[in-house]
Amino acid sequence: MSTFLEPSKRISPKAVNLWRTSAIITFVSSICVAVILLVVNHFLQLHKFIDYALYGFLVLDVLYVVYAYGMKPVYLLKSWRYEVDEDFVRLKYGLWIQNSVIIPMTKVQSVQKTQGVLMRKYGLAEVSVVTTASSHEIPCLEEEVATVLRDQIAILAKVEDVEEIKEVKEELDGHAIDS
Amino acid sequence: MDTLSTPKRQHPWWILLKFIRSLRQFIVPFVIILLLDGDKMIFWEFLIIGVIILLLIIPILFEWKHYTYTFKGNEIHIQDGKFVRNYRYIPLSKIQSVQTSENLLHKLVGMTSLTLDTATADESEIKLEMIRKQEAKRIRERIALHEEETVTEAATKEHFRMETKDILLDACTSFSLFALIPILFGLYSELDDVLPIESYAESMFSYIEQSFLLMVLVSILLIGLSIATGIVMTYFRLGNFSLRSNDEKLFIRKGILNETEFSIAKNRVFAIQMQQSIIRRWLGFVTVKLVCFGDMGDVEKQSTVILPFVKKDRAVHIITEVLPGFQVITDVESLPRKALWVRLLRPSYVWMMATGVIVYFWREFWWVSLLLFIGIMLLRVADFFFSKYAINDHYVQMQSGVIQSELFLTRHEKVEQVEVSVSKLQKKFGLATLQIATRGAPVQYSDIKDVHDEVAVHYYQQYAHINKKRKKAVS
Repeated sequence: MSTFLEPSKRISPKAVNLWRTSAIITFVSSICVAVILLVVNHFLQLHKFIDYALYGFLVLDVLYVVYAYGMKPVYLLKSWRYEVDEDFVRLKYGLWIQNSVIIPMTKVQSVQKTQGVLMRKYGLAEVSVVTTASSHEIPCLEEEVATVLRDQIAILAKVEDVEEIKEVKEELDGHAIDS
Repeated sequence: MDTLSTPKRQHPWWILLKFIRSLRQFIVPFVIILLLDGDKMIFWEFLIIGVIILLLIIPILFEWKHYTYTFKGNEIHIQDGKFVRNYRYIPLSKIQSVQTSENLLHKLVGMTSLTLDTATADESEIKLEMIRKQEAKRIRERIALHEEETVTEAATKEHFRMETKDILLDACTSFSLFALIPILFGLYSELDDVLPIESYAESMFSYIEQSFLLMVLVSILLIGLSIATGIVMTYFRLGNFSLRSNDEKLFIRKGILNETEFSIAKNRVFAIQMQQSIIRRWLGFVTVKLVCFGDMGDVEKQSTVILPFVKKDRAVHIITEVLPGFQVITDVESLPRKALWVRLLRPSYVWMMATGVIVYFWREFWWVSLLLFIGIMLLRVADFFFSKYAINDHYVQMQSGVIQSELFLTRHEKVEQVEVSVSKLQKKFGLATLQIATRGAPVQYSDIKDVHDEVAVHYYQQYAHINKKRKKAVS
C-alpha cells in the first residue's frame, strides 16, 4: 500500500496500561452483575435456563478479558497512527479491520479534548474531531500533546471557517462550468 | 399592521390543529370507556373526559400565545416557551429548503403550513403550522429575496409528472400490494379484544374450507381487494406528483388530500440516490432521491424523492436536465474477480447463529440450515455481479444491492470524509472497502466493498489532492 495512507504520529504507549485497567474494571463489574443475578435466581428459582445463560456469559467474559487484557491493547497501540497538517486530519487504526480516514481541514466543524477519570490518572487525554458527517476520536494522547493538537486543529479549522463563504461560491462556479 | 417585521403569532386555527393532534392518542381510551359501559355514560366518565380535554387545551393555548416569529434583516427570530423564554435567531442564509403542506383542516379553513429546514443538528426545522397562504407566499418571497433568486412560478419548467399509468404500475410493483394484510390483522385483533369474533371466524373458515369454489372466490376477492388498496394508497401518496425547476431551484409538489410543496436550491443537494427493487430492476424502473437537508415527511425520512417511478434512461436524462451538477456515469467498473472469492469465504454470522439454534432445538430440520447457506451464497454471488463503481474527475458513483439495489452519486467536493478499510481477509486478496460520507439529514454513508486496494488508495489520494487544490484556489 502507498505510504500516503501511513500517518506518522503514534499515540502514547501508556495507552496499553489504560486499556488494560479499563478491561479489568469492565471485567470485574460484569462479573459482579452476573454473580448478583445468579444469587437472585438461586433464591427465587426463576428458571434453570437463566443459570445456563449466566454461566455461558461468565465463560465468554473470562475469554474476553484474556483477549482484552493480554492481546488487544498491545496490537491496537501498534496499529494507531494519526497526523494533522494544514490540509487534513488523517487517522489509521484497527486491529481486525484496518481503517484509514481522511478528513479535509475545511470540513472540520469543532474539536474537543476530553479526559475521563481513568485518563486523568494516567495523564492522558482524548481529542475528538467533529465534522458534519461524524466524530472521530484520537484516544490516549499525552495531556500536553492533546492540548497542543486541539489548539492546532482549532486554529487550522477556524481559518477555513472564514473561507467557507468563498468555497460555496466556488462550488456554484463549478456547477456553472459543468452545465 | 401586517408586515413580517413585527412579532406575530400563528393563526388561531393552529389551536384546533394542535388539539386534534393531541386528541388522537386518546381516541383508543375514549372508545374503550364508551364500549365498557355500552350506551350509558356515567357522570364521572364525562368528568374525566372533560378534565383530559381541559388539560390538553390549556398548554396548547399557552404555547400558541407565546410562540411568535419575526423577520428582521437577514434573520428570522423565533420566540417560544411558557416559563422559560426561548429565543432563536436563524440567519436566512442557513435555510436549506422550504416546504409548504396542507392537510384536510388546512384546506377547510384555507390556510397552509410552512417548514423551513436549517441544517443544524438540533431543532433543525422551523415549523409554522398554521398561517395564511398570503403569509406563506410573503415568507417565501422574503427568503428568495435574500438569496437573490427568483421564485416566479412562470420561469420554472416541468420535467416530470406522475401519470395514472405510472401510479398503477408503481402500486403493482411495490409492497403497497401487501398493505392490506397488516391492516386486516390490526382490525381483527382490535375487534377481537372487544367482541368475541374468534368463534365466528372459526365457523366461517370451516364453512369456506368445505367448498373449493368458495375458497377460490374468497382468495380472488382478497387479492382484488389488496390490489385496490395498494392502488388507492399509492394514489394518495403520489397522485399529482410533479417536478419542476428553474436555474437555481427544484420544486416538488405532490399529494391529494395533504398537498405538499417542497423547494430546494440546487447547490444544496449533496448527492443523488437511485433505487430499484428486484422487480423494478427487471422492468427497468427506478426511484430517484436527493440527499439533502429537509424532507417531505415521507416514511423514508432521510431523503427527498424527486422521481418516484420512472424508466431508468429517462431518469438519467431528467437528472442531467434538472441538476447539471450531477451526471450519472454509465461507463461503470465491475469488481475484480477475486472479490467473489472473498465474498464466498467471508464468514456469515447470520448463518452460524441460525445453524446454532437449529442444531440445539430442532435437529430434524438440519436441511433448513443447508438451504439458508445456499441462499446466502447465491445472494453474495448476485451482489458481486450487481456491485459497480465509477470514479472520474468530478464524480464518484457506487452501486450495490440485490433485493434493493442502490446507486449513489456525488461530486468530490461534496464528500465530507473518506475512509479506506482493509480486513484481514481482504488484505490477503489485495482488496479494500471504500467508504465516503456526505452531508444530509442524517449523514449519508456509502461504501463499495472489495474493490482493488489500489483503487481505494487512488481515490484517497485523489480526494486529498482535490482538497489541497481547492484550498490553494481559495487562498
